[in-house]
Amino acid sequence: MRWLIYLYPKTWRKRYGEELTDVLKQTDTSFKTIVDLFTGIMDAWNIEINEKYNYGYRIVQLLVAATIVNAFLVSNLKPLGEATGVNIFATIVVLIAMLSLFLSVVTLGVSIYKYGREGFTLKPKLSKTAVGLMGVYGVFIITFLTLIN
Amino acid sequence: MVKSKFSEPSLLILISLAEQDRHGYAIMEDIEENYNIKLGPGTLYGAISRLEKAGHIRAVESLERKKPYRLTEEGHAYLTEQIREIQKVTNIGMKRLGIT
Repeated sequence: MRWLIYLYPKTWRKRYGEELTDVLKQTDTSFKTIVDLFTGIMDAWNIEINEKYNYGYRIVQLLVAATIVNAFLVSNLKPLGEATGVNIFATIVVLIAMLSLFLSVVTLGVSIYKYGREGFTLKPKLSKTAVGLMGVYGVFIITFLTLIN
Repeated sequence: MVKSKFSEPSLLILISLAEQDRHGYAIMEDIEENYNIKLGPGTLYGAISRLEKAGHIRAVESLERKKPYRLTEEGHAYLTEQIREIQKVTNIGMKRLGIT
């Protein structure tokens, strides 16, 4: 039953995991306890996801993932000179997407530098702008993927 | 009446810690002994994490592996307010039922 602790969010597990293990060692293994643990796991994840700091953290993760996708796309991009018709349009679209992503990363970086931990939240205008630019990136990258297919 | 931010397990935990510092399992035992309510470990630590985040309780440094929890001043004030609210409801209920 103790393996269920691994289903808790990492930060929660780090803080309470050891204590919960101790309590579980002294508790009877029953269906009721398992259901109770699952309820606790869902509750912990609900708190984790709704925390503003984690929201910012997820945005950063998303930016990193998007950068990797971008790097992959750029490495496969035909040089502008060889492109024609739809390809030129697709190239322009992907360049706008990359520019948006770059600006989004820079804006978020400035926000974090200026506001510290609060920069991870959606409170400062800079963070909101970063999310907006991320949205622009999303729209353009989807357009690009549609065009090349 | 002030709407409670916390559930019943949280209040029971605060009442338990109002008497003395206790670690997780000791809180469970105290609640079971006094109210015949068996808190599950998931419910217990869900409530503990919320209370700690709200600043109503804090873990006390201890030489033992198990760190006991202590009621903070904010926790004491919050519990007092909640108990007064419960008492107010109880008094009105008892009066209307003709118990007192």
